[in-house]
Amino acid sequence: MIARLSFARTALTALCVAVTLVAAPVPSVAQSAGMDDFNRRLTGRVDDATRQQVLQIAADAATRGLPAEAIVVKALHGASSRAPGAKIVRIVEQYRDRLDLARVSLGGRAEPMELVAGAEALFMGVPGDILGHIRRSQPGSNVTVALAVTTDLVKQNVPVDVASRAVLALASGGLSDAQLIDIRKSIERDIELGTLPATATSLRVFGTTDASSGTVSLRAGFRQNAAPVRPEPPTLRRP
Amino acid sequence: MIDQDSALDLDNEADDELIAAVTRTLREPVAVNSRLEFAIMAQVRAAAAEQAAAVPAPRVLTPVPGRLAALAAWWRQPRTLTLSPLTGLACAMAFGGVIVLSAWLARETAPTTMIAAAPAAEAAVRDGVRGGTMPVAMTASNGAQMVRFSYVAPADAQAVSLVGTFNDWDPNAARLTPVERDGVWTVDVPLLGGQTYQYVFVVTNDAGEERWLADPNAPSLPADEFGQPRSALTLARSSS
Repeated sequence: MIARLSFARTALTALCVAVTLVAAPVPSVAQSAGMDDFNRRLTGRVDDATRQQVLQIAADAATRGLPAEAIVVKALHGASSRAPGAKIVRIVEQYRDRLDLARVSLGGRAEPMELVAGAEALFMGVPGDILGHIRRSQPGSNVTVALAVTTDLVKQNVPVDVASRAVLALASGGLSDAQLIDIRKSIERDIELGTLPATATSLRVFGTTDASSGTVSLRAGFRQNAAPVRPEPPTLRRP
Repeated sequence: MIDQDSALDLDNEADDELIAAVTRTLREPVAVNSRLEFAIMAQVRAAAAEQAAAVPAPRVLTPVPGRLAALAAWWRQPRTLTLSPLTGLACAMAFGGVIVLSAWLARETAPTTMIAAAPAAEAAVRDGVRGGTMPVAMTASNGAQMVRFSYVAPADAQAVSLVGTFNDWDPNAARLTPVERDGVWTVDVPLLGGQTYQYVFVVTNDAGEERWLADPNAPSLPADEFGQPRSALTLARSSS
């Protein structure tokens, strides 16, 4: 009986060791599977040297906890644009660095899409500390849309400080993603109609033309069906 | 002259040698005739069977348990598991194989390229769509929203594709279908909410020339890192 128990203990130990040996490489196997997928998608789209370098950058990003998928997509974007390999590699490296900076600003627990949105915001000139402010304005929530709305406003020539102050105010107000997007669309409509970007943003969000002095105006900014803000007609002065 | 300690050491050494010799002898395997061993073991088994038969069945001190209690007792009763290291290794390999296979299958079924060309062109005309994007339906799978991309292409357009961050910027992944009237081309693409996407239309003309064109109905954006035009789309998370 003792011999059987001893043997069972030995077998159990062997089982545990074997499980450890087999299970330990599972993450690396998964990563390897991801790299295989990246390799398959890059093959034929970029030359071999570029593919190897992009894969290396993606692997490096993955070890840093950055979304390697986004890096591969960026390389494929360059490939479809028929950019030379060296340019693709350079831009992909810069993109990885922006993702890294976005993670520093948004925190280590930021989700991949938040990092992608953060990297795009950084590319458009939004400072990293603004990203951190947006993160802190919605603790525990996904801030992808808030970051994207900030970037979209900046792309519409809204000054960075006005755009970020507006989104921070809106995010702190507990608006949903859909409401944020609706307000952004309203601002874009106003800009199309000729309102200055900063003015349109300030009016929609703060109800005043001076974003620095305004507080969030629920009446002015959050009404999604509010009439477009039309620019004041030029006043004609008699000579 | 030999002192007393040295004498003791010599005695100990002699004892050690004797013990070692005895141990060697005892450890030597005893050759037993296999027939004799078989006969002995047969008798042992027979004696054990007789003894077991002679022992009266244990008295049940408690009331006869119900079927459920018996089942519970069966589950609670400890058992000795005996298996060879080789079997254990095989089990572990099978366990690991299942994990790896699951990871592989999950990767295969993941919606990496979320494209479904479902034109619904008539609906586009009916809805008065002349370009841009609009949500058209909710899909049941993976919470994606079906978004219709439409584009009014020039008369010499032979093909219009939609490329973006959602389909690896592959011109062959999502081809727009022309609506019969007004040069409207459309494609429906399932996209996940709560995310931001970049896209552009690729228009191929009669001469086979490709042009990358931003969505004219979306706000104009500065060129991307590769110097190409682009449009952006941010989707809110679906409320469902």
